[in-house]
Amino acid sequence: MAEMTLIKKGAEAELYRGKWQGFDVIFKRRIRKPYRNPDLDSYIRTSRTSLESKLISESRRLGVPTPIIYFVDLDRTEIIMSYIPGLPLKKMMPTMDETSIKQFFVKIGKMVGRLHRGGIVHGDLTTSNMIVKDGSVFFIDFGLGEYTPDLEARGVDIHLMRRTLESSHHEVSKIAYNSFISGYSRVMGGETEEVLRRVSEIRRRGRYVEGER
Amino acid sequence: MSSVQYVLGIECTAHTFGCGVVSSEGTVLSNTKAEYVPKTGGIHPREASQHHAAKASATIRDALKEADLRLSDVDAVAFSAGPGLGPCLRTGATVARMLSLLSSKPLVPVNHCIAHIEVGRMVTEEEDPLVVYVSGGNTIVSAFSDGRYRIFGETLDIALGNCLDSFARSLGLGHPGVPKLESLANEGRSFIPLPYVVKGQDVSYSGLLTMAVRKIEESDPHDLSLSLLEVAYGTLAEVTERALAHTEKPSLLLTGGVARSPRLQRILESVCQEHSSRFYVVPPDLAGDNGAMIAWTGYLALKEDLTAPIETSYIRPKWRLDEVEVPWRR
Amino acid sequence: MTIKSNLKIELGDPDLAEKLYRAILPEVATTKSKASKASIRREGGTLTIEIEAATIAGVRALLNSYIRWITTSLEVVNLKGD
Repeated sequence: MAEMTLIKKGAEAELYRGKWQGFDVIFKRRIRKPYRNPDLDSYIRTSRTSLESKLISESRRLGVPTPIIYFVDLDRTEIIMSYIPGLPLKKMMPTMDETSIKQFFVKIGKMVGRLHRGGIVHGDLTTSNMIVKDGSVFFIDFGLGEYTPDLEARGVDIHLMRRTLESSHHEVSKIAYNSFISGYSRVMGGETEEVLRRVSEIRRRGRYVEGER
Repeated sequence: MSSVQYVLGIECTAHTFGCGVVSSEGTVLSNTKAEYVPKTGGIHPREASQHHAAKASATIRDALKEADLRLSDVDAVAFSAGPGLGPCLRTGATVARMLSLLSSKPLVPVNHCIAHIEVGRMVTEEEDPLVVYVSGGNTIVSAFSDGRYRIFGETLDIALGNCLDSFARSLGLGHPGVPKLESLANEGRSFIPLPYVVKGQDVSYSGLLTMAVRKIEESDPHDLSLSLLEVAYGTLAEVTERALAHTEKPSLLLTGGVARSPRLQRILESVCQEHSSRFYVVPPDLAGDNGAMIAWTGYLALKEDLTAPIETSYIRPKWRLDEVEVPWRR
Repeated sequence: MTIKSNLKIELGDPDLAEKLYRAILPEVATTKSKASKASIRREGGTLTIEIEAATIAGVRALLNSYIRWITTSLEVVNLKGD
């Protein structure tokens, strides 16, 4: 058995770093939740593991940098994938100047546009799920992703990106979000407007928002 | 000079008209309330406001009597200015203005969601928890950061309490719906698959409700109640866990009307154990909508001179939690 | 069509009338809509509320709201002595 070090205990999975067949890899293991009904728990873990591995591979084919999938073990609800030696964007943002924030978010916007064009939504676009390596951004954690061309799903994807910026990076959230949208619209073209309308609608829907900011 | 101050708080955003008196030391001197229960269906805003208008003066009188104070003894009058239902908010605001004018004491508008958080911090003395606020109208996972309570997760459609209450009504259970639903669920055995929807850090309950209601005819009510609660609380637990991992807060505070659910408490406590975080629940009388929480938050705001002139003390039905500056925290 | 209704309340106490006027005034500003509007004025101890709406139902609804606020506010006045 390869040597493994726990590097992150996330909300739904444990991430270990180690060697596998000579590769530097991440073992992503979805763990049982004691508070969840066992049937529901096993269903969620298996289906998410299977779907995530497919989405990660498919996203690479769409030109969006993601880890390489080496092995999927559905019985252990585990994915073995390449380790990306970089830093989460969340940690890097406080050190970045306005120009590089703009550049990065235009790039990220384009990447999300490519996913949406390719019929994929990431489902959890946060700056913790973006790894920066040599100026490239890698998307990780597709555990809540979906294959869907639906406007609603695309809208939610962008809504979540915006909310992450507002809650975790509020000082630069406007600049980052505007750059994101400009990158996104370069790929999505005329469809952008419709998606943005849905984003505002999601923001207002059933919740308490004062006007549209 | 440090003398004790007293703030009277008026809560009037939805089902409850509440009045509380709290001291500057964080003691709840009284917390009286009158609850509107719709004869059929969900809340009717106009009916609710009629109820509140009829109960207001008696509820306030009882609160003052219980606190053993006269109106002239209070140092400020706080009221919930929003978010909430317009007709209810207007009634509460009008009454609060009148009390402020009669006593010649400052008027302090309070955000209802902030009040749920602050009263929890008051009773638990926990400085910086991640907050899960669940009620009939709100489902919010929030944490303080740089001057405001930021929203880390919320519902994309209906609130948790609304989902559970609506389902309880469809099953023909009376009021209050959630406890009855939970006792049914305690006898449930098998799990019926229902849509489990987590979107990033957000939850969604409308698809779940629709599907659960659709399955009432064909399913055992115990199993169906169990499954609905498993999925509804399970998705909330998942986004809570994500926020806990993301914000790295040392503790979790559960507040709002649905915080009274023992099942939800057990689930979130288990989430906390996994992350070595402390778990706190706001006691039942302060968990649901109440005047004491408005009074306490009013006191915190009063210290920062956040009073409002009567003339511009407008209600704010869509006042979002993360719009409010919180200068009493650093 | 416009339907108007006037509500006149003779309180006889200018100070009380002024308090009631100030307590209700912020609602006058924010209940205005396309279908209805209201105005309030005080002369001495008398309050006059003028309501205008396109339908009878609209007038009645607004009238009810004002009557409710006034009734409740006057009830609260009794708390002052307690």
